[in-house]
Amino acid sequence: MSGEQIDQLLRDADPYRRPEGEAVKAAAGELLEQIVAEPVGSRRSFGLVVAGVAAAVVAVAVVVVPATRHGDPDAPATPVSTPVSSPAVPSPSAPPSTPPPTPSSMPLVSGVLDPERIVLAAQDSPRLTPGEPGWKVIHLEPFGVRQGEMTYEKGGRRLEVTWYPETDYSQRRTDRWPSSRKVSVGGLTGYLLVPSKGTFTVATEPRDGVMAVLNGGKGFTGATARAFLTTMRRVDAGTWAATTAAQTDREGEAGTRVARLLSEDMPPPPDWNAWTSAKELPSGSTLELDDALVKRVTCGWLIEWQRAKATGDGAALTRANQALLSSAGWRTLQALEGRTATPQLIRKIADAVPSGRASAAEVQAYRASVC
Amino acid sequence: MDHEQHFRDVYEAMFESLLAYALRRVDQPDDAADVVSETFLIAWRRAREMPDGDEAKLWLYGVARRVLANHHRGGVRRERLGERLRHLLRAAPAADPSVVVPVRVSVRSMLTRLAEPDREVLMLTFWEGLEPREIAVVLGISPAVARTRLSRARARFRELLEPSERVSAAYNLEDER
Repeated sequence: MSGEQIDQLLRDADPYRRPEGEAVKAAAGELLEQIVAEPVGSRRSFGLVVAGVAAAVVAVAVVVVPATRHGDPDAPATPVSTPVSSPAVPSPSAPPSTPPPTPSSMPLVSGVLDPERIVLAAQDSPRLTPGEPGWKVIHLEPFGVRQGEMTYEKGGRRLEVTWYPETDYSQRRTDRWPSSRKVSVGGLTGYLLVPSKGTFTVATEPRDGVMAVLNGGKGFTGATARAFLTTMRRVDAGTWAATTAAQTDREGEAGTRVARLLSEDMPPPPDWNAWTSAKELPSGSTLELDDALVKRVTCGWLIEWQRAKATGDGAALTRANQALLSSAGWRTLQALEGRTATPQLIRKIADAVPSGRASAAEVQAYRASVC
Repeated sequence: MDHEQHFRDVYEAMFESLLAYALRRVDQPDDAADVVSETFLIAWRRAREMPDGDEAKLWLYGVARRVLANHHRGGVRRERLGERLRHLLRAAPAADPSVVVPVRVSVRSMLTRLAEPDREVLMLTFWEGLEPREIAVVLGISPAVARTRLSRARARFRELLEPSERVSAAYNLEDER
C-alpha cells in the first residue's frame, strides 16, 4: 500500500460527521450570547450554556471516537511540578547509579532549558546516549510513566529513541523477525532490523522495567548501524542528565519554551511573529531566555502603546495598558525576582505608563531599556 | 474592531471546527459540549490577546488542547443543573455511521494503539487539515520537530497496518548487510 493510500485511509477514518439542521446553529448562537454576557476575567461557571450545546450535539447524533485519554502530553506537566524523589530501580547489571538531579538542583545557567523533562527522562528512560561525538538532542518528551521519546540529529542522520514500560515488550520485540540480528546497545541486548535501505530499528530487552526502541533515519546501512550501536552507552541518571543537557539543541528548545510561556503566561504583543521572533532571543539558559522574553513582550506592548497614543487608537491603548498591568501576574517574571533586575524595571513601567504618569520621553527611555 | 466583534467573528468562523475537534477526542458526544464551551469561554476572557486570522485558529486549538487534557483528568465539570441534563442526555443513544464501515473502525482502533503524540499529530494532519508548521504552533513545539513527529507517526501507523510488508522488506535487504 502506498503512502498516499495510507494517508487516504486516515482521512477516511475521520469520525466527524457535519451536523445538519438548525439545532446546532441555534445552540451555537445561544452559547455565543451566553459567553459574551460573561464578564471578562470572571471565573464563574455557566451550566446552562453547556447543557444547551450538549443537547444539540446529541440531537444531531454524531460519532464514536478514538479516545485520547491515555498518554496525554500535558500529563507530564503534573509530575514536572512535583518533587522528584523516586530514583530508578537499581539492578545488579545497571551502570553505577548516582541520584537523579531535581529541577531545582539543575544549574540555572548551564544552558539546560526545561530541565524538568531531562530529569524525568533520566529517571524513567533506559538512559542510553550516543558515544559518537556531535549528536544533538532536537527533541525530548517524556509522555507517561516509563514512556517517552527523544530525537538525536547529526549531519544528515537522525536517531529516535523511544522508551516504553516492560509490559509493552511483547508487542514491540524485534527478535522474532527471521532477519533480526542480536546486537548489544550500551550493554542491553537488542535485535536489529534493517527494514528499508538507510534505516534501522532495534528493540532492546527490558531492563529495570523499561525497554527502548531505537530507530535510525536515512543515512544508515546495516553495517554503519551496527558500528554506530557499538558506540551507544548506558549511563547513570546524573551522567545522562548532564550529557543530554549538553547535547540539547538550544534554539529548538527555546522555541518550544517561548511558545508555551506565551500561550500560558504572558500576552504576546501585536508585533510578535510566532515564526521568527523566538529565534531572536538568546537560548543559552532558561534564565537568559526568560529574562529576554519578558523584556521582549514588554517592549512589544510599549511600542503598541506609543503607536496607539500617537494615532488616537483608544481600544489599542486600553489593550496595551491592560497587557502592561498584567505583568504583575506573570509567573515568568515572578521567577526572575532576585535573579535579574528585570522585575524591578517592569514594575516601574507597569506603574508609570498605564497610569499616564510617564512623559513621552520617559516612555521612550523605558522602551530603550527593554527593546 | 473591538474585542467583542473580533471574538464574535472568530467564534462564527471556528465553532464547527472546534466542535469537530472536540467530538473526535471525547468518548461521549455531550462531553464535547463541555470542551467547546470551556474553550470559547477562555477565549472570550482572553479575547484581547487572541491573534487575528489563521493564527486565531491555531491559538484556539491550543486552548482546546489544554481544556481537553483537563477534561480527561476530570477537570471540566459544570454546575448541578448541567450535570443533571448531561445525565439525561447520556442516556440518548448516539448513532455511529462508522459501524457499517469496518475499515474505518479498524483504522481508528489502530490509532488508539499509537502513543498520544503520534496519534495527535496524525489527527491534526488528516482530520483538522493542519500543516506541520501549524501543528507546531498548536502543540508548542518547533516546526522541525512537528515534521519529524509526523514522519515518524506515519511510519509507525504503517507498521501497525502492514507488519508483513516490513518483514519482507527486511528479508529483501539481507544482502545489504
